[in-house]
Amino acid sequence: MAGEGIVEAPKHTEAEARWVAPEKQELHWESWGEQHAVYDTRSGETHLLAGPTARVLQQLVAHPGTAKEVTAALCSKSGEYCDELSLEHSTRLLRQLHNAGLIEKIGT
Amino acid sequence: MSIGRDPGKQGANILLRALGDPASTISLGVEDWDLLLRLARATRLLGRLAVCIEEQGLLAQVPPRVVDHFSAARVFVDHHQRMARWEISCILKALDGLDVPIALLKGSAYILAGLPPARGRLLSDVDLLVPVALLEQVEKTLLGKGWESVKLEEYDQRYYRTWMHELPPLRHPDRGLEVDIHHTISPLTSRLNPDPEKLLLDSISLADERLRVLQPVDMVLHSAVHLFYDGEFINGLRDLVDLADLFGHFGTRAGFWDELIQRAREQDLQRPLFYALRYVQRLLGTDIPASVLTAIDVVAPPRLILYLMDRLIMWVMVPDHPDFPQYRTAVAQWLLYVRSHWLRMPPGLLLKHLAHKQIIRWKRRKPATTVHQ
Amino acid sequence: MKLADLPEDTFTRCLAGTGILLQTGPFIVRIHSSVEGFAQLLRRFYANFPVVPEPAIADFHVRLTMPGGIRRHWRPQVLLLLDGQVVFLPYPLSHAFPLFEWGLNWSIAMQAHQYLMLHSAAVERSGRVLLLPAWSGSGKSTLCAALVSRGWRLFSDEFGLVRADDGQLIPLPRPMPLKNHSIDVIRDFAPDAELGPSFYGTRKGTVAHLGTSAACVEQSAVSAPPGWLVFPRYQPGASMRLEPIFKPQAFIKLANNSFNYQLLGLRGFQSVSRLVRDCDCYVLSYSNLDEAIVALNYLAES
Repeated sequence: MAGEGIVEAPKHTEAEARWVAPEKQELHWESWGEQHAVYDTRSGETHLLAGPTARVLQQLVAHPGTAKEVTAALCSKSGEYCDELSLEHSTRLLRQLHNAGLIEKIGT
Repeated sequence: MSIGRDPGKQGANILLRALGDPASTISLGVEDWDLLLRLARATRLLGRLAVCIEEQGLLAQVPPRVVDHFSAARVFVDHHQRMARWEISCILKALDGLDVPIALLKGSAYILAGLPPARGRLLSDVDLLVPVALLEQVEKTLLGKGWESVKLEEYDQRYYRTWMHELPPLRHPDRGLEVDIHHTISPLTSRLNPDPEKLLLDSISLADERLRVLQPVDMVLHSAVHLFYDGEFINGLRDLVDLADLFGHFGTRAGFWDELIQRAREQDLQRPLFYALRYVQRLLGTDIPASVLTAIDVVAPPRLILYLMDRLIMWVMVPDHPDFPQYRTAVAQWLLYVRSHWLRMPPGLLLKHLAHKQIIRWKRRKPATTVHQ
Repeated sequence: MKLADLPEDTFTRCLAGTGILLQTGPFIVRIHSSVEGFAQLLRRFYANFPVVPEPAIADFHVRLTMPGGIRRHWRPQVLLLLDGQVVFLPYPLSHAFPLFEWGLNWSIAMQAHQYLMLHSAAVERSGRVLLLPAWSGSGKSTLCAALVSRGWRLFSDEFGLVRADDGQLIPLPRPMPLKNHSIDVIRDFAPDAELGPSFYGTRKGTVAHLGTSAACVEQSAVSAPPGWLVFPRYQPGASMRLEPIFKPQAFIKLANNSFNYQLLGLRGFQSVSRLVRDCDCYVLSYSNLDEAIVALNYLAES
């Protein structure tokens, strides 16, 4: 997205990485429209997520996958057109979720 | 040992009986409950008591006010155990790719292996055992992934590395839980020399195969060494309860007792086992087969030493009435501390160590307890 | 039986001996003291509080004593023991009462994890509780004192005690400590209010305590559901503004204004979620107490 500052292009290996989220029962949600609080029972941490990030996480909870797979699934659910920017966006959100300790890579 | 005759320890009978037989608390009067809650809290066993009483389906028969205290204690227990599990999970992630066998020790082991001492257990750190050859690599990896070495004086750093059986503690700033990485279970200079290679070789893997725990006899022996030879009796009674649980849990397995005696002989840990068996029986009423007691009796210390130990252990492990702290308890604690270091270090070094510690204390005038403004 | 009904000599004897058992909110406190001056203040501020007949299980054991040695006589000090442990540095002897109050607060915050404990004032009107979550220095105690003097029922000036299973707030009436300028403000605002002696030079400056009404103490067993979350901010010269805030913001602010959110884990998350769900959430900026109270009264009536 233009004007947002430097965005790294997703690395080849990063795009191929498979991501896994906690089990459904390990996360507890409280949602207000496009804002969500999620409690991770494993770490005891509470995270605040915006709509798009929450949807990525929920998608992974349902099905572990690569950035591509997640993007495709979300696009088809929302009926939106999927392109490179969508993939870029998902990859960025996945990185955020990873930094928060919510998701893990399970090898390429 | 009759605790009953000792005025400062009179109330402690209530705690010991409650620990040995939780169902007996049902008949307690109000004053006894008041004291029991205080003593249990002081010895970090309130959560344990709460869990055991609930396990036996007796919560409904306990005064409602006590139930509130139990609930509050369980909050701490759940929090500590969650933090420990998560820390271990983070450590495994960090060490991913390194082919290093990791054995959990003490509280972490009980919790992840689902053993009876895990009930209501608090723990303030995570203890791991790794092969000495991989120690440096493990430390380096963790330091590189965000853990920090707890700041210690240079002297203590050297002491830890050279003479103790662990690295100076690590801590991840995001989480704050202390991680102690051991390469043996007894200090290098100690007169007891259990073989760490054997411990790891015979360890048992958990459902998560990256994690291991010591085999039952080693777990018992480690617990005994830690309690009677590390010199720290802050959690003395709690550690004794762990041992009682382990004896009770593994004691029903065929061949356990023979193997225990045998292993103690092999690993040169008979004396700590002697003390463990003696005090779980005398303080907590744990059932130990007579044959075992006879067998271990051959390594009993000389009469005079045993007499002293009986008294010191009672004074240190059995809590004082909170309103009547006994000076004698502090003296006993100090004597046992000196003893553990005597066993750990050559005499010349011991004097130097104690002198250094005294000088530090004088220079800093550290208060004995944490104080807040 | 109330503390005031206990004969003076019995009171003095028990306080110095086996201790006085007092009930405050859901808690029973055993108090021992042989310290000069403390007994009168205890009797004065807790006159309306029930004395619990022996024997009873006490939730907290508090002892005031004097340290040994030279400080017994020269610039004498008082030491507070909480369940036999020294947790605070000694205070000057004349500050025994504020030390007792702070010590008891500390004990509650350290131990009462059967509740979600919010760092918040809590007052009730029309059967619902107004929570004013804020850390020290935000003016919440002054606002709380003012509300109470204008007919709101005091639950607590410091602790929002939330019961896990039904989300109800639990009253914990206690003397209300006012600091520095607040003391004069409340003296002007409520001239009939029972304001105790001022303690000068404490770690928090000058402190005086507002007494608890008999009516308030009598209703300590009556819990109530939460109605409003109002995050107050006193700003000198500011015009009064009571603005709704979005629930996600209220959630964050409330979790950050808890003593034990983190410790409680899932139960903390669920309790805070429920509170935010069940309450109307606002921020309040004010400099004038009357204006603030009018706005809050209006909230309670609508």
